[in-house]
Amino acid sequence: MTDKSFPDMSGPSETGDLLVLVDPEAKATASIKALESASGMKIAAATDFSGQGATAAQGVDDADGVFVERFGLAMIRGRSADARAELPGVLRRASAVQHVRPEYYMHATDTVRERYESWVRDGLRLLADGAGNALRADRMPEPEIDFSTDNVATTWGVRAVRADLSPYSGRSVKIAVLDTGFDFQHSDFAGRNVYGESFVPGETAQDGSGHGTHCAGTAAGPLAHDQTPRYGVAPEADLVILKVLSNAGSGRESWIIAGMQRAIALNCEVLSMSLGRRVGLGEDPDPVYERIGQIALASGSLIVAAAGNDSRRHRGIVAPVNAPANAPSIIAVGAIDDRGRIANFSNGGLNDDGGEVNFCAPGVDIASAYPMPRRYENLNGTSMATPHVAGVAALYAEADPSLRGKRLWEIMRRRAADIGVPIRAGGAGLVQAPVSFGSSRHMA
Amino acid sequence: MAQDPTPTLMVLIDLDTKGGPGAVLARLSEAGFVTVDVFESFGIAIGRFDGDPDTLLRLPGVQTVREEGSFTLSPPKPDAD
Repeated sequence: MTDKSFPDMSGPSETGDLLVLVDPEAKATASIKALESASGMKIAAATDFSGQGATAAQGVDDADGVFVERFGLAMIRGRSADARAELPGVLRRASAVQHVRPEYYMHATDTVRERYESWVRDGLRLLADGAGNALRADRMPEPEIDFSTDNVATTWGVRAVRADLSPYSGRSVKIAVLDTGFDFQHSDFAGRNVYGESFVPGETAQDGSGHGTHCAGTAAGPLAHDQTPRYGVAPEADLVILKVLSNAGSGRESWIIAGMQRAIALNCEVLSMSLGRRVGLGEDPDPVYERIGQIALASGSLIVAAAGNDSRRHRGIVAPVNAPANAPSIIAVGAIDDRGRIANFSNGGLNDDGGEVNFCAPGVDIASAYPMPRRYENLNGTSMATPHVAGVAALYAEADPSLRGKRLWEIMRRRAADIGVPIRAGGAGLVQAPVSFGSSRHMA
Repeated sequence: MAQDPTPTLMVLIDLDTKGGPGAVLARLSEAGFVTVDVFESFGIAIGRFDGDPDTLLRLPGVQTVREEGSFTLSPPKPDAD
């Protein structure tokens, strides 16, 4: 694109170019064709230039616009005042186009614009430099993922994260599930070591909702038995149930912080938090949870939290990652369905500084434990994806005791599978359990 | 049910402040902040305050002050499934 030096603060805020967001699920070639057809302009695919260094900049400059497939984003030149006036309306009518707006210069006082532009520019810079995506760099070869539906042996979620192929079970690893509690009478957990504590005044740790039991079951439910598929990712992990949400499904921050403090004090290797609060576009991560996340990592505890379910992707609406998942030191988890597609409701990485999605995991039609007498239930949500990631983290923590905190996060990133979900929806990709490390006890 | 007129505030304390978090808590108390809960390892104090929260924000060692909120499950809406 054109060379734009950073302007004087008193100058115009619009650059004259346009930013166009398209449906991230649409194919790049189809999106480019639609944009070209609507505008009569030549649009170059940024991926065409990866690894070509200076050629990339030349190729981009020859076009009227550039399309970045990974972001589902086009930057289009407004070559004249007339074109700039007409183009937005023309482009909005193109198929797959979700949003059209002017590109802005960055101003320190306008954090939304500043972040959006830096996100776009950083992405373009990476591609043009041929650097690829740091999130998905230095990784293992992509494994075969089994997305077939539940069978008698395992749920689709357990298979998709390859926990069924892992020689590890989470033994001696503590997973804290901060949620609505747990059904301590559930027959699938008879004889298991389950610790329970409630931070909700007037309520015991017994689950009166079902959500907490379901999440705990996904993280650490038992192996297959009684014709019931295995639904737990880390079936021998120790469950630490910390009730921080009432039976009605909400909790004061002081309860939640108390639960996080207890989990860290109990040396839980993993905290699974399927809860959240909506944030606005451009909203800063809360320093309270960033502080807690950093302390947790330094203490060897990894916090995994739900990205949130506020999107309506089939209508072109993507909501930003919730708090506390938007804290940089807390893992944010998006949800996929059993065909490996991002879930319609799953929030996206619209804010930076931690507002990114870090991983995706199964979160649609997830079978797991539910309070007796119902015993089992299928639920949807990033709440269901989160304990899949927590369970996988426990498997790594068992496989190599040196993997704690940030090191645990890092190896999960390196071993996540790129299943084609856009980065801002699925982060580094689908989490994958440790499978073939032989006798090695040190994987990082 | 009667509404509680005093919101609960969350105060983030600089853990490296001179005198330690205890000194900050003392300053908060002198300013009229009534501590309900303290998470020492995180440097977080939760309590009630009748005045302008900016008063607390100006105290040495206080990093942020805001109202305590809540978190929820918020499962997907039916049309988003």
